[in-house]
Amino acid sequence: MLARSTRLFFILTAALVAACDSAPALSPPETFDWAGQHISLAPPSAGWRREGQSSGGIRGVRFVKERSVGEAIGIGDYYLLANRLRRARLQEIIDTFETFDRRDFEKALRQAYAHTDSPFSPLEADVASDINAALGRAATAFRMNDRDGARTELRVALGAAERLGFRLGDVLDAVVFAPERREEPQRWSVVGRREATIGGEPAVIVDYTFQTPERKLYGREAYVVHDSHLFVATFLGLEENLRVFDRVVESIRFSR
Amino acid sequence: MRTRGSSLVIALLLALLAGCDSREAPRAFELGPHRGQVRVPPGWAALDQGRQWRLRKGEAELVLQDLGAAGPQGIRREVDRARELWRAGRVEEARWRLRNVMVPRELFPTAVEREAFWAAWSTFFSDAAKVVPYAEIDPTFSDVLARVDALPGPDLPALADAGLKALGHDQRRDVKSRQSLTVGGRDALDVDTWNRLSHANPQRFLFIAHDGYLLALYTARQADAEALSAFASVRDSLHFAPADSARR
Repeated sequence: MLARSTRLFFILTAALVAACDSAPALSPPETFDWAGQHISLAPPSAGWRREGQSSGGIRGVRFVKERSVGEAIGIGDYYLLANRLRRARLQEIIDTFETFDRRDFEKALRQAYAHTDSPFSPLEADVASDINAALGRAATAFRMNDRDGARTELRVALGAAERLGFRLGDVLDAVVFAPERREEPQRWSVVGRREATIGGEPAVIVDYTFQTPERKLYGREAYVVHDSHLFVATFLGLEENLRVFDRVVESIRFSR
Repeated sequence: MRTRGSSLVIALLLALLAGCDSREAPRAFELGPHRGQVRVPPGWAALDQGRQWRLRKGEAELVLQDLGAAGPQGIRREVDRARELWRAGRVEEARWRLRNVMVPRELFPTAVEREAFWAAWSTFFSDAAKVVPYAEIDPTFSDVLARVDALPGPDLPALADAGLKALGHDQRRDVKSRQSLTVGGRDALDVDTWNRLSHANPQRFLFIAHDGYLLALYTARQADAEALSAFASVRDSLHFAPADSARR
């Protein structure tokens, strides 16, 4: 009798666990590189069509729920910030320095000058000034056929660029969800904001709702910075699919 | 009697096996310097367009294409051929041949070498209206060939990168994977690519380098299951004629 009860208990427990464990399935992880930083994530499985996104300063991927109400999960690198980083570009110029003639070099430098408008932090303004001064000297040296001098100034510029780093606090205000940034702000409402950890990095998650004429949609955005790249994950859709978004975000890993 | 019966059974079996082989018969191809045979998959139509074959079935399409001289070895062959033409008095043909040689800037380790190469090369075209006698141009050929011989030979992945670029692969697409293999006895590289942002729109490429020339097989549009199956079938059926580079 006892054995029978025990067996029944295990069967019921297994059934309960199975019922609770209905987490949405994801596809195998893929590694993306949208703006110079690798990010690995597991996309939603079948039923979500994927497309590229390059708008709002974000370059990445969107997974659009098929046969639904326009639900979508987006993940991307905020390239307006990534473009401020000059390390990789300067290192590339140094590595290929011997292949440059004067015209190539001037063209390469034009793509390497640092942005000076609307800096994200006081440090960025200082670094940009140092980079641009060094690149100006490099250009002059190259014009004077002083290749060694040009190379030295490139290293000075690289040293300045390596001082630059962004943290979540530096950049969050530029992208964080706010109804007043949307058309018809009265339809959007922030319903929660919390701190979290994504891919081992500190993150912020904001919840909001969007009232359409037909129904209320649920939105969630997650912000995380890794190696000075700001990644933004977004969801807008039915409440039941928030857990798909959460699982995709949980799967995020940074490989370097 | 028993022996005769056995032979008959074997002959019948062979005939049956041949009948069961539903594959198309191999077809000869000649794409630039690449000559050989390939099996067109059943249901696919092959269109010979000179330097490329287009294989089509509905919306699916594969292309088998000669990408021309690749790397110093191929450039040398083309310059040698132009030299023969010039020597024979066919100067315009020689110039035409030289104009069509792809010399990627990535081949040159330094700007100094690149500029010196192009300075020498420009001598071929310095006076287009004039038929320069061979004796006058011969030192230029020797100079250019010496510079070509001094270039470092790129490996197959570097040649495949140049091939991808020639076929329109740009920063919008990314390489998903590369796999080295042997096709028809030649070294080859199988490359999967996809959209950089979304990892959608997969495409498949095969690059075969031989004797300084590059041959590519690729999916012209999205690599769906049907196109991939045909790609594998065509790839595995490729056979090359020996010493095909002798005919150029």
